[in-house]
Amino acid sequence: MHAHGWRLRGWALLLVLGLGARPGWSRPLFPEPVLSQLGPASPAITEAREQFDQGEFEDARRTLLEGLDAPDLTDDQLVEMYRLLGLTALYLGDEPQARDAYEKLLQARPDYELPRSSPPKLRALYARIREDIKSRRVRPVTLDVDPIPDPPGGEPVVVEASIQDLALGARARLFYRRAGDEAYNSVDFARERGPDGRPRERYRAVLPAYEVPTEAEAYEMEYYFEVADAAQRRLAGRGDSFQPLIFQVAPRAMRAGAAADPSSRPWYKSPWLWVGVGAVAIGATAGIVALTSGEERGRVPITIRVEPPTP
Amino acid sequence: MSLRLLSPLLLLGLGACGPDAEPAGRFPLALTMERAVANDVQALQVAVVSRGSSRSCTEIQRTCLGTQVRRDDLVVLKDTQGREGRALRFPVDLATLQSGGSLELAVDVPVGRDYALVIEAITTGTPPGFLGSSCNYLREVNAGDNAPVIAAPLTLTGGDCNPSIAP
Repeated sequence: MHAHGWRLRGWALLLVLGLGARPGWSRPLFPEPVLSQLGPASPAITEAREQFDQGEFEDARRTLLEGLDAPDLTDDQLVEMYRLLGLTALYLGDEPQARDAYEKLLQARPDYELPRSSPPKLRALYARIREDIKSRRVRPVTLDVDPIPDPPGGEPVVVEASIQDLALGARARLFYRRAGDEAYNSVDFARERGPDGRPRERYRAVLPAYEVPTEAEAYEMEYYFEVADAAQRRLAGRGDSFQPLIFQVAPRAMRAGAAADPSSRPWYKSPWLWVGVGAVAIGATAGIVALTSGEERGRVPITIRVEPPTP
Repeated sequence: MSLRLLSPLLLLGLGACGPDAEPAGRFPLALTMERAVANDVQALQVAVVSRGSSRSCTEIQRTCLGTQVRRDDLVVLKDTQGREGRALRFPVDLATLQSGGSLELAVDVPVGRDYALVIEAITTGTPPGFLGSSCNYLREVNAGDNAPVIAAPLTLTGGDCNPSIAP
């Protein structure tokens, strides 16, 4: 009887130790998935995993934050780093940082699921963040970009934008098409890096010169800017495919005007001069007539309705 | 006849070609108003801003248009009764709207490109109050037929601003 009682106490002690142990100690009893199998490798990820597994959470967090500053990380590496950072922050009791890390992870991988062996507190936080994202309570992306001024044609068009809070995995793109075409093409905005190699909030897209050739007549290009997440949901934009912005590419004559052949006849003998003078005279006359006969207007009918009541 | 005499004549001849002047264009714009706005709205104020693509409609809809643009940025509009102004007000028949009917307005806009059309729901007390607005980019307004535009819904925003715009 006495021996049986001691055996029971021994089992109870083991059970209590097992439940109360830190995550690193509890591995033999409740094995976590092998971290190295869950994501891509990088020196920072490998080091952070080792620190995490040994319970050195502050060191792991520092390693991850430094690793996130490294240039040229792949999306997979970023996802793994944010996953580890969220877990580490939670063990350190820093829920805001854990939330921030998992928001970034979820915006990149909307279908990401935590391993079943994850701690209940982590699963609860993760579920709350998913709900927030579904109802779009996360911090919105802001895109600040100016419309493209009319370019001369035959040269690349460089567009610079400022994008704040760009979610991991989200892409900013410039969509464009020749007015009248059906489909849009697109070019990605690339993040600029400072002299120290660190990424900045400035982004740049380049419309190739062959997409805006110089032609005899001026023509219009329609375009819009869009930031979309990994699931192709629009997060921010300027213009859209139905209401694009427009720039006009100047005709060849305007570009060539300044570079006329010096060996040609004197300027006052050129027939184009007199064509131009005639055109100006006609235009001026037409303008005066238009001004005196009233401005041409288009009518804009507007129909207002109240939204139907929700059932 | 010399070339320099022929050229202006040729241009004059060409200028006489082309279609006849078209009648004023129709520009259908359908707008849905949130029920919360319809409960309080007393008038709709319509304005058209030049250089539309350089404006942010999201920003414009946050508060009164008059506090965000200069008077010169607004084009002069006309209504079907011949009233002119940089912003035109149309009284709202609440009973018709709330019973599922629609309100038909029309404004004449100078033919041009790159506009933003803003419709503000307001109260007409003293001072007038701002309830919300719908801002829509208009690529161009032709005298002929224009492409239809789906207007942004007019939602209740509210704000401590006076929506009045000098004519």
